[in-house]
Amino acid sequence: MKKILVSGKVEGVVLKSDNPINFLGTVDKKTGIISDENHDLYKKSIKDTVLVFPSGVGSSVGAYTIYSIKSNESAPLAMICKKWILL
Amino acid sequence: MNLTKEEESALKGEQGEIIQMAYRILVATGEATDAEKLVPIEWAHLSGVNYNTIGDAGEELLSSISKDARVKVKTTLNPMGFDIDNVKNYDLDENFISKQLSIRNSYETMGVIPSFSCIPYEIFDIPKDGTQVAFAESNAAIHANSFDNLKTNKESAFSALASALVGKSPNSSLRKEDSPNITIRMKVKNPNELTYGMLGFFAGKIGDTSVNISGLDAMDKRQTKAMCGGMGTSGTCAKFLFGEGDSDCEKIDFDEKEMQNVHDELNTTEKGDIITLGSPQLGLDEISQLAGKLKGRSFQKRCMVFMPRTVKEQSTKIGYTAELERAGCEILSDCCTCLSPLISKDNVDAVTTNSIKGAFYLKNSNGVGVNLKPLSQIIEDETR
Repeated sequence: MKKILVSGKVEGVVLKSDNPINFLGTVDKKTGIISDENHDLYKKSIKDTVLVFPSGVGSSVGAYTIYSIKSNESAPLAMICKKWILL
Repeated sequence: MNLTKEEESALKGEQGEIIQMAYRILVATGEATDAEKLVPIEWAHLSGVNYNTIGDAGEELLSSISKDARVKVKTTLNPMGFDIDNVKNYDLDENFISKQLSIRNSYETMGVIPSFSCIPYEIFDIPKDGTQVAFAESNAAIHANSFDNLKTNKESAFSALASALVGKSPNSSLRKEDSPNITIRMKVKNPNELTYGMLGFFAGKIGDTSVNISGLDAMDKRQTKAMCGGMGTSGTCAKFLFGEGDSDCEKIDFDEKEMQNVHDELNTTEKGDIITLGSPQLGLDEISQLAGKLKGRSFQKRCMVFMPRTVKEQSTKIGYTAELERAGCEILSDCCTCLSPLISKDNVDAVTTNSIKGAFYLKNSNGVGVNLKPLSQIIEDETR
């Protein structure tokens, strides 16, 4: 079932990942670049993308990473995921 | 979601901007997680304290909302970036220290208990069975649901903060009866805490909101904390149910091969320059055991030992602190291995630890090598 959690309208290039993302520690909060070498988006930036990924995982502080990349203008344009996450 | 008249009014902003923001977070979270209503909570535990993790954006947000926001229920707090008692021994710049103290001040202003601990379940009294709480800090949420008979979502830093300010949390699936569709069968013989950490990490990768787990022997605190920490790091899952589960559950074995895969993912080197113990932070039992194991021995390299301040105070009274310091340990309270600003790749190439949770963040965030060993092996290899 489709759910819209934060609504808006954007246009951009899809960046698709098959791996879940632990935003804390694996996404640089200034640049939006993924630092986990085991991740399929390793070294890629999620900035200004339409990020499509299975789910967030791991730390509760990932919420602050998302807030930080937004404040630092490195956030994705939109995020689409399969499974609910509390981020 | 069904909201009461008062909740609707708060969501419209009739109780001020901050409460409106808190309700927006809780309602969006609730809608996403199929909660039909908000439920009152008795205790919130917040993450998002270490300046290294929340940065300037987080510091500024907290500073701004603390001017008006006050918590409505008992609220405790995760570790910050350093121990003020010995921060001068570490190479931290003034900006870090002042921003961290600003974060501490904001939380205290909001009425949060400055516990700076990721093991609230070990240093505070546990409320009666079935009590609704809202724990961010993934290991604590999993521990609360699995071992303490409490009920919590695997909260995010913001949903827990919103819950603290409102005194309510979405009634999501983890708060209701759940029946996992996966059973993990523990097959590894003679497990130590590192094995349980890897089991948790494995479980987090395949579980959804909860998993059954079978084949466990009696576990001590170090092992249960390692398992909760491991699962919190890799997944969305926030509850272990003990046993085989229903017959139609998918059964998945955790054996030597699965364990090796986790080990290979997180262990990047065979030797560390320093040792860290405490992710999650060590409780008094673990400190007591550590002091016992270190009798007559000394570490041959730096060993950082992380614990809550209350545990440090008790340890000092009993004499454990002196014993650990004699053995060469650096005692740190109020902070933790995870994303510690005290460990930098500028001066450390690799860290030896028994923590899967610590290993994941040391490797990915601190950018240092990780050498995984159980505590018994660390003491055998690294002390004389």
